[in-house]
Amino acid sequence: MLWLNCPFCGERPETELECGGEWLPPRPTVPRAVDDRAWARWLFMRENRKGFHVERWCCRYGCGGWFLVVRNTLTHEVSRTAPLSTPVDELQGLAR
Amino acid sequence: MEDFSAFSVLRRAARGNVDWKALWRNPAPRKQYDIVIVGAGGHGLATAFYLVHEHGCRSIAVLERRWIGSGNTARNTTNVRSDYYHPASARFYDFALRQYEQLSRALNFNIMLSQRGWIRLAHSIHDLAMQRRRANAMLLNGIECRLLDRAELAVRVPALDLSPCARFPVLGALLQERGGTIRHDAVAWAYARAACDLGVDIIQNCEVQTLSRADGQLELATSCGPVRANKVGLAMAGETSTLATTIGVELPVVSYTLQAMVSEPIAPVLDCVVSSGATGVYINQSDKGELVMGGMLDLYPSYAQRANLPTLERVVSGVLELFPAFARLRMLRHWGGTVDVVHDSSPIIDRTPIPNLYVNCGFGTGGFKAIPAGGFTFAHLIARNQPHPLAEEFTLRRFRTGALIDETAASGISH
Amino acid sequence: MKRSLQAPFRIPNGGRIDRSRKLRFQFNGVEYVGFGGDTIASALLAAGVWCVARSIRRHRTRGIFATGVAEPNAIVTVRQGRHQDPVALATRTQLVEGLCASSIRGWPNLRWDLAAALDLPLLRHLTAAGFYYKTFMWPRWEWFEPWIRHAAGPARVALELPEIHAHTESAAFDAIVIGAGAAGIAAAVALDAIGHSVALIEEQALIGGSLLGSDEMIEGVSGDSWLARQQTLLQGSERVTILRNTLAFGRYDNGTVAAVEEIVPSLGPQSDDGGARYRFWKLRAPQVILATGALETPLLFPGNDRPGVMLASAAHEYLRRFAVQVGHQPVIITNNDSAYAVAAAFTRVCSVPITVLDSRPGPSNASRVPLENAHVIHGAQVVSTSGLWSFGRDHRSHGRVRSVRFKVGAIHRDQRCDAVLVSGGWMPAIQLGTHTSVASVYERELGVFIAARKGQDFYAVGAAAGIWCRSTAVGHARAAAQSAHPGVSGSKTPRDALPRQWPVATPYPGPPRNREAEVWIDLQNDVTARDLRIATDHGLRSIEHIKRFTTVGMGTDQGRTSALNSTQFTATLLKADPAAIGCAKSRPPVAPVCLAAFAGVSRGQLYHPRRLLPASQAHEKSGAVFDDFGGWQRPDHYRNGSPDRECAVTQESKAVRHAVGLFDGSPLGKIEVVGPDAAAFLNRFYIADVLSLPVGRIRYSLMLTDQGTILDDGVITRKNETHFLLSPSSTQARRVLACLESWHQIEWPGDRVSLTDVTEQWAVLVLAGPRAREVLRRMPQELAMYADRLPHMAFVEGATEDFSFRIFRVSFTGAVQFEINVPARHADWLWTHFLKVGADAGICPVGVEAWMRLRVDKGYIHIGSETDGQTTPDDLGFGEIRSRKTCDYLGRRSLELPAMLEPNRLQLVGLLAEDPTAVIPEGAHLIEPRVLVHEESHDRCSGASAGHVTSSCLSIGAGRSVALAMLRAGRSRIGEWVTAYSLGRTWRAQIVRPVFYDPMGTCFRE
Repeated sequence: MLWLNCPFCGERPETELECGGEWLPPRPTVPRAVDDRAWARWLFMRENRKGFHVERWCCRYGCGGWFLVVRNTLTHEVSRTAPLSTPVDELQGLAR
Repeated sequence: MEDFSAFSVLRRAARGNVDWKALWRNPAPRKQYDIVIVGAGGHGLATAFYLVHEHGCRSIAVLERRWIGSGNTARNTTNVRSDYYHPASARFYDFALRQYEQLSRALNFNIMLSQRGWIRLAHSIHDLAMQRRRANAMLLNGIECRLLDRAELAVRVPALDLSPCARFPVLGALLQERGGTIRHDAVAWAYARAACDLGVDIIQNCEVQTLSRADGQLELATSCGPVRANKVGLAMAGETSTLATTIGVELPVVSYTLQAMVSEPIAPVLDCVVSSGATGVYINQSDKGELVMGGMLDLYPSYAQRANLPTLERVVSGVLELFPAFARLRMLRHWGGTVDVVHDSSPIIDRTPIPNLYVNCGFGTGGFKAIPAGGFTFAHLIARNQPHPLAEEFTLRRFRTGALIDETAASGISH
Repeated sequence: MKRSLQAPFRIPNGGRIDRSRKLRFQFNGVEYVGFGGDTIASALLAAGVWCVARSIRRHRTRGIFATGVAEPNAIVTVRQGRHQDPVALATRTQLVEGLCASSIRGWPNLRWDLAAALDLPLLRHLTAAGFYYKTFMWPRWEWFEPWIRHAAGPARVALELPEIHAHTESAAFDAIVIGAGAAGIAAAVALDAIGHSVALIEEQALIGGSLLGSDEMIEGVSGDSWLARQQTLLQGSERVTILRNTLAFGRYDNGTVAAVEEIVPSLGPQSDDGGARYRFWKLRAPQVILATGALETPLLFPGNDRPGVMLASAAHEYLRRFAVQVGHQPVIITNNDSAYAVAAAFTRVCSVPITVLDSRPGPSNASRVPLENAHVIHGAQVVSTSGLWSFGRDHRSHGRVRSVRFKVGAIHRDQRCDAVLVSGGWMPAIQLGTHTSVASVYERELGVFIAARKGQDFYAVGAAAGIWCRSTAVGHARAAAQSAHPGVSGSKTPRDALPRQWPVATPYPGPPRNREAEVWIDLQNDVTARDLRIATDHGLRSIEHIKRFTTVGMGTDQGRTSALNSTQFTATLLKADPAAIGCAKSRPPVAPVCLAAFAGVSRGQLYHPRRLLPASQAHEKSGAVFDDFGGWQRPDHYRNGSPDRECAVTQESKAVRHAVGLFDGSPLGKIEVVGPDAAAFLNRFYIADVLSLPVGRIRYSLMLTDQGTILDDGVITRKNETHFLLSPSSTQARRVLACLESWHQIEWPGDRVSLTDVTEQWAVLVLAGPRAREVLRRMPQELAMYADRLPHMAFVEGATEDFSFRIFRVSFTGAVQFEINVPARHADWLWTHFLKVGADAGICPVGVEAWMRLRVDKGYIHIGSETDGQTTPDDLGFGEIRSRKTCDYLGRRSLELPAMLEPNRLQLVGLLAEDPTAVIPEGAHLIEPRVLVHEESHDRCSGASAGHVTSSCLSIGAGRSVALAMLRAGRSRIGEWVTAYSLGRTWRAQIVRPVFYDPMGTCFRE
């Protein structure tokens, strides 16, 4: 059973949370300006890393806020949780 | 290959069962192969077998990081069926089922296919309409099926709670008689034995760490040293991304944990496979008497290959909702496997942007039932560098063109 | 009934049983008597019942072999009153008055089991490991399968008896200690002393583990007094929670331990009203300490499976805890020192002569200690055993061991006996340790597997860590308790330097090759040494392959007594190191756990609790027949004097078309979107332009996923410049809100907007029909004034003296329609009031079914009927509306992908069956006329489906049957004829535009 530290509500079990998948770069601001390949890449392609990666979770039955989590997908060890506003480079540094 | 039959078993028994021949060799890896398949699960072994059997390829190795069939082939709930909606999937999965129907005798190894019927329950009027839609699609695709009413269900599944005041009352069901179960390990062993007999090297305890290009070939860095190959096929289910990324191939795959569990063995009480969309569970009874149960995914990316409580509790609740009397039984074991989920729940059997590198992945929760078709079409693709007609829609390109084949509803569990 | 009320093997005093409480019970139809505190197994042993089971494959007679969860043989079906446990372990099941136990195999009875023929030499070899993979292929497996299924699992589950229930409880502690033996207790006391809260979990009813009744000294005092002192410390502390009768069965991520507590002893008295039998504990702590002890391993010699052969430690426990002496003439067979304590106990407590056959050539520390009445023979290897043959029907001592034949050097000797106590060394109980990613490693010095240090997220202490000496173990446990992290403890207490005094086993001489088929490795699954040899002969090298091929360790005991032997024997066969062979992976639960425990309270009505309408009671009074719609319990239709559903639905539809219907739309989603950027924010989602929506007006639109498919449809209402109300469909409301929230927080946090779900705050009652206005006019003035003033697709809010309201004038049915929102608590009153004031306008309550049919008249879509995971707005004919919007919105980019622009996509059309009275079933497929030629053989007409019928009914508005369908290139085929196909039947139908009633929309605009 996974327990994550919501930056707003504190520690919560996975049953109160929802995972939004790995962190993605921002949506293209002008989607029409990107070609089909780049668009498909944004929509579907995933790094799907084995080991630490940055992902998004939502405190579904708590505050409703989304936050970032640095978690190992093999051992489920969580090294950090942080608000969405945290620079993702900093967290990705932790993940590598 | 030693011939397996009642006579050979009798002959050996008379001599006290000593000196059986090995099912497969345990060779050391060579430095160079024509074709290397990564992953000795059902799909990888079937691919190797069909590469030789159908296409006459030579110099083939299957590399496996643990033991033969140690991934999802050993962890699934052994169900087979072909009740898919879209013609592309229906063709593909029904081909798999038809191959399975002949496999024991074709490979001279009893995989214990038991076509005891696959039942999909309807819990609402809307479900009934959706089932009619699926049943008609199946019939038009040439796959036999039939709708059952409550009275027929009561006869077929006496342990099922048919009370109208159940939280999710059962209104009817879709039955595919040809659906059923298979002894899962036997599929891997049967293909491994047959492939080995045709000269394929199956190398266990050999983990492939990275892929790279070298002198017009592909080089695999493995725990047993480097291996080069002209062509490489990945058949690694949930682990596919880990290797594909080392050579820069992006895939639309996310790995999740799918759990399964068995009860203690009891006398026959459930004679078919029962699945239910509303409760999100499926259940069958193995020949040994254990109830084999499974359900929804653990919805966060994971390679952990182990069980977790919340989903387990939901699956058991769902099973007891359908079969209240099973509450008195005990759970014997539960475990998890890593499945490769793509957006539309249809597989990817395709070339990659890297020449001579091929992938077979994206089967998600339904890989076991597809093994013969996955292996057959993947072998065709690798041998001829052309997709097999059965799998020509299962491309990587479809994510770029938008031609998705959405079988999410057909996969029987909620994603 | 036969009675056997004597207990010849019960010693007159001692044991932790309640001799004042006599309990009568039955086993295989014979009545026996036991005491309070007995298990079925101890009571049967006291009565001298040796043969209790038949084995799974060869149907050999089997007796009680171990205690507790380690027992491989004694599986029985138990009934007591209205309760049944089909697969009960006799060694785990507490004895209660009136209990009935029976063996699960043996036909016609346990004594004379016809299937025992499978043990004849040829048949036993025929059915050796893996034989079924090689045969039964012709003509087909299914011809043989029923026999095998029938033979495999004989315990019958009673379907007719009441269910079993359980509670669930979660708790967090500073530390969890699993196992309340000496080490576990010491750890708990130490944790308590430094102020930590502790859960101490013990599977037995009593804490103390191997200390109970032991006469060994610990820390200078007797075991009993040490235990008493520690118990006082534990019970005096508020920080310590002791869970007895609780099996910690699994370890999961983040320090989670799952445990199941037996609240009433299984099959004890329990009322039928659903009182709980188990409590399912989800415990969590940063520190987990495993003090799970060690398990004894049997020895491999021919005939080691007879009734009467038992683990020496088990015999010791029966003696100490239950005052049962398992034999009057026992023989101990051992290869290590631990069995001498058992010998000592037997000679002292029972004063019976005992023979110890020690395989080690010379005396050891333990065997040097002189024992009165004991005869120790060194260098003795057992070559065979023989059993009793009992005539008649009495099974009790049938097959029981009668003598052992052993050899010392070249000399063979026989030793008469009535019990054989075996000790083949000990294996730390590390199953719980390896549930997470921790591996097991071979500890060469001790010859056992222990949990690897790498990645260890728990401490193992005591025998579970390979420390035998109690005083050392207790010290180690205290040190472990005081260090905060497992890694740190490793360095602070150099475990390897501790005096462990492990009873290291000397390898027992392997059985001769021609006797391997009589040497059992796994008693429960009937796996012999020969089966393992067959597996390795087949080229299998991995212990997991050997396990799966032979089924060794795959029984309900998960190989507790077979794991070490199977690894060691495989190592011998392959001439490999046991470390390289490894130990088969153990999976949770460590012992079988009742399914009811996992489900907890999530059963029956509490399984996915139903959502009720605020006016639920009023609907009941109106004769509602409820059904489940996306979790909501909504009236499907109202009885209203109609003979059947069809009539009721027709009557309700007629009311809406000709008078007025009253519909409860409360589950309709309601999301308030407020903020300076609300309009711009919503404009990112809907295919219609939101910016241009005037205040007080309503617009219908679709919301897409970014993949371009339809997520939901619904209306957007502009309350004022910066305040919008969204009405997503009832089944999608939560998804829509979650979607808006996630995009807002993740992609567009700069948009100044807030989202609030008020779905359950407001009830929605809908008046629909040509006389809707009349009814509204009869409401309080503040409401009534809008009956004539509010135009179509407009919104207003206000308040009467009693309640506030919001009126949305939209139409889902094609009739004049007022959606009146009031605070949920007024719903009941308003429903009743509408029916009262609308009576002479012909008002009629309308259920969901009629409502859904009415929208078919107009070709309005319903999410989930007309749409699936691949439907785009263009497919439904919204392409033109969409093209008017110039800016980007969710899903737009994907709609430009080639496959989305294909002319051959499924498109929404109407269908009129040739026979206007025929309703084409929903879910029928549309096929091309030319395909009909092949109708006889559907075999090869894949791809023949050109679409499917999504909604279909008899329409009151159109006066005939109508249907909506998704058809390939449907819009270009208006006027053509197609064939609808469902389950072998066909209908001819014409393709029409998807609107069947009032195509100009005059009815609802007026």
